[in-house]
Amino acid sequence: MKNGRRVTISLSALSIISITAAAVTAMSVCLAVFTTVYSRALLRDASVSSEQNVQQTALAMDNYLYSMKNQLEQIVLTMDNYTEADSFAEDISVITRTQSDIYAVMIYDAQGNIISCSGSGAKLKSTVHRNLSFDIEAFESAEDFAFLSPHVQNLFEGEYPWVVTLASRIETPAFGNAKYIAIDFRFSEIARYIDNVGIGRHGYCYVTDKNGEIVYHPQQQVIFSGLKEENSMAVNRLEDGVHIEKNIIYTLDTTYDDLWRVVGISYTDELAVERRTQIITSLIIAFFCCALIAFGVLAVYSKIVNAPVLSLMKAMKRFEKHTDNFTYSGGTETVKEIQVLSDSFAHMSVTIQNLVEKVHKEEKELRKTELKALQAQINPHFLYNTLDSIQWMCEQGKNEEATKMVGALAKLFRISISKGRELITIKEELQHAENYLIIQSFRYRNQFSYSFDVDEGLENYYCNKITVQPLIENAIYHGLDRMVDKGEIKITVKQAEDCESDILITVSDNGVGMTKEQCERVLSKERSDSSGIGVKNVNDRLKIYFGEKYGLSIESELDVGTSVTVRIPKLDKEAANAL
Amino acid sequence: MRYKRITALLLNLVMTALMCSCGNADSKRYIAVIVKSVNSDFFVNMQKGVESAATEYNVTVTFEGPENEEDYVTQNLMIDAAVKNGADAILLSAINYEKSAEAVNSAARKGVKVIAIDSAVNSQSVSLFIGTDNKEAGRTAAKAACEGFSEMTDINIGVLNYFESTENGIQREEGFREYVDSVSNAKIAASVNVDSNIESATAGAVKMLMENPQINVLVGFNEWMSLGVGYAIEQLGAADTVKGVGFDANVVSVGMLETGEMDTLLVQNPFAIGYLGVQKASEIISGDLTDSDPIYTSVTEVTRDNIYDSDIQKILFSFS
Repeated sequence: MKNGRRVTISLSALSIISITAAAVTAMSVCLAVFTTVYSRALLRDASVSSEQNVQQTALAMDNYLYSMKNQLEQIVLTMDNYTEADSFAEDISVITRTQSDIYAVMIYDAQGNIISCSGSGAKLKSTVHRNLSFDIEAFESAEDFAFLSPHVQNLFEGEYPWVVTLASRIETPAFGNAKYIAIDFRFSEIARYIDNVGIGRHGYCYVTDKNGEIVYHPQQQVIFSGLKEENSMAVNRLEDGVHIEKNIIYTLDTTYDDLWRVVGISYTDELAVERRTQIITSLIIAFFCCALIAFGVLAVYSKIVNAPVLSLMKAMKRFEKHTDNFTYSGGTETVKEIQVLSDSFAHMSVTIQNLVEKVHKEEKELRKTELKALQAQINPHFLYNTLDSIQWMCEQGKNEEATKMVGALAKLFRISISKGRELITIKEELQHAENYLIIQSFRYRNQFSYSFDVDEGLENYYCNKITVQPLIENAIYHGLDRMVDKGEIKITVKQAEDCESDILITVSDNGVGMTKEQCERVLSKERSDSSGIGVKNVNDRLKIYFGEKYGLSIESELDVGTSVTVRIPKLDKEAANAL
Repeated sequence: MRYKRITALLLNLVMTALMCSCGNADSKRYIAVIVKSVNSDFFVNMQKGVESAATEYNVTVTFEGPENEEDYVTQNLMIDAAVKNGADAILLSAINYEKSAEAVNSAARKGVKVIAIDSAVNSQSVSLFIGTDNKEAGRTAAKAACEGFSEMTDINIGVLNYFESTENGIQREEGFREYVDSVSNAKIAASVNVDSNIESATAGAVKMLMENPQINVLVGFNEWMSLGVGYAIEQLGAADTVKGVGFDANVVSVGMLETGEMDTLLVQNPFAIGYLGVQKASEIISGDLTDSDPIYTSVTEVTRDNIYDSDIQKILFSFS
């Protein structure tokens, strides 16, 4: 699987990346679309609100101007009823005192001398330094009304209010040499109205005359002292309507009679951009919230999906390595599919384990049956040769020897059978081996000698029957048979040095010895005559019974001898019965 | 798993930071304006400038001053109260150059930006001064005072000044004296300091004129002093013999200018001072502006001849 080139990616990483990517893309697209659409809408809203404000202001100015003209006309009409300036002034004073927007009504002669004056009650100055409410040129050139821009009214003592003057010529003088009638209207109300016009957060509006000269500006003290610039002349060249230049929205509207223009100034950065930033900020916050939620979802997802998958995967790996003592409890999973997988795996692992165990058992049984069959067999050559020897002994009258031989053979068979038991004590096994050696030493006419060396206390442990005899047989046929000198077979039973619970049974001879290849062949080859138990059978049987650790090991040197060691565990009677 | 936890932590941090910045952006700045008094036309006009700029720069302002223009104790209490109320900046026109220094320093230690307007205070913590270049204004006043006299005539000047420890008065007088010293036929014949109100100013001026009949120019250094000068000249009927020069204007002093008791008024631009004060304060609060050189607003010389020029009207008379 680990191909090197192939990039593998975990399930959780995949889900994190895909969900995050999806979220980021969706949010970015939303952000982009929303920003564009919204900022356009904001700018449009700003323009519309600016236009509305300015139009409303212009309308208010129209109303002021209209009502001023109206009042002037009314007063001019009443003038005809009077023949004396004083009585007129007295009656008009009532109007000027009750109507807050009229500051004074003045009647001038052709030179600008005051003929009649109706004011707020303040005393008329005895000497007027310069009458700002009288402009003979304007009065003369006016078609029906003359209009003087806002100025200070300085005719009365201790009062300097800002006024606009509306005047008209008196064509048919009612009294004296009255030539002009002028009304000074308080400007403060108009000023307050303009002051209060707010466009956006810090937009404002101001009023110019038709030439672009500022008539009134809410911050005119700042402007006239040069701290702030208002390029009213340039703005005045713009037509009525909304103009957006750089960050500023200019909105212009002209009053009905072309007298004034109302200019609204507002800032796109405050109207649109500022709010857009706010929206973007909140969107970004929303984005992070989404991301956080996504992470939360992922955390849960990984807990309920990825983690179980991962643990299932680990369990599978563990199962792969240690099939025998593997235990897996499925656990309860939230996701149905994973639960099914997990359950199936648990079920499958148990089934596999059972199958494996069954196969093991069956194999063991099979071997046991095979061995039993083999044990039951008597090597016909051996039996024939032995019986031949006995016959020969009897013919020679060697009754004693014949008796001994028959006894040994009888014992050999009895132990071989051992009431069908597989495990016998080492003592019995050694007796079996000895009987065999007795028979063989008769047959080989004392061509070899043998000896036993058994550690005390070990002979009561159990071992498989017919373990030692095949080794002795092997030693005789392959080690000693071809020897000229007298051979020697040593059988030792020792406590294993490297393991307390193991016993080593060694059969060694001083025969021709074997090469390494021969040693291996002995352990892997079945007997050629296919009867009786071979060395390989012994080894296999030990391993089936006790495990891989146990069995035979062969050490051999040519012309020196061979030694075959059996390693078996210490088995007392109880353990042997249990097996 | 660990990465996820770290990322989550980072996200949290970023979000917290965002929330904080948003929170700050939404809360309106508060600028406290503390002046010498709220009664004089000068400060009324300043308040208009302050309010105009407050709307434009979207800040909350308060505008207050003690009843009495000598009451620096109350003024200091107002500074402390403004700090306690969470002012981001204080615009201060100090009554006392020395005595308010401690209150200003303590405000500055608490992170409140202090900007001196109109009249300075003896503190290093002040970020900026906005107002009239008082020394220069003093020189202009002296120039106006010495105008119109032939070189043969001795110019004997009477000086009427207010509370000795107010910085702008000191500066004006200093500039004034400097210029007078440079004019060979001019000298300061008498000088008196009075409380900053009309009564003491008038009394002081009358007394000075009585005691020094040679005085042919009388100068007052603020709105009340100017009125004192005008009333004294009026009371003694000396409009033709004594030239009246004063600072600031109100309807009375403008009337005196028309009728001849006063000859020159040096009109400051309190609207501009208030407007600039709030503008600069909000810039300083938001960090766009750090300490800078003083910002001087204009002083307009108003005489009988130019009083009704259209621009002068707009500076001199308020719309109300």
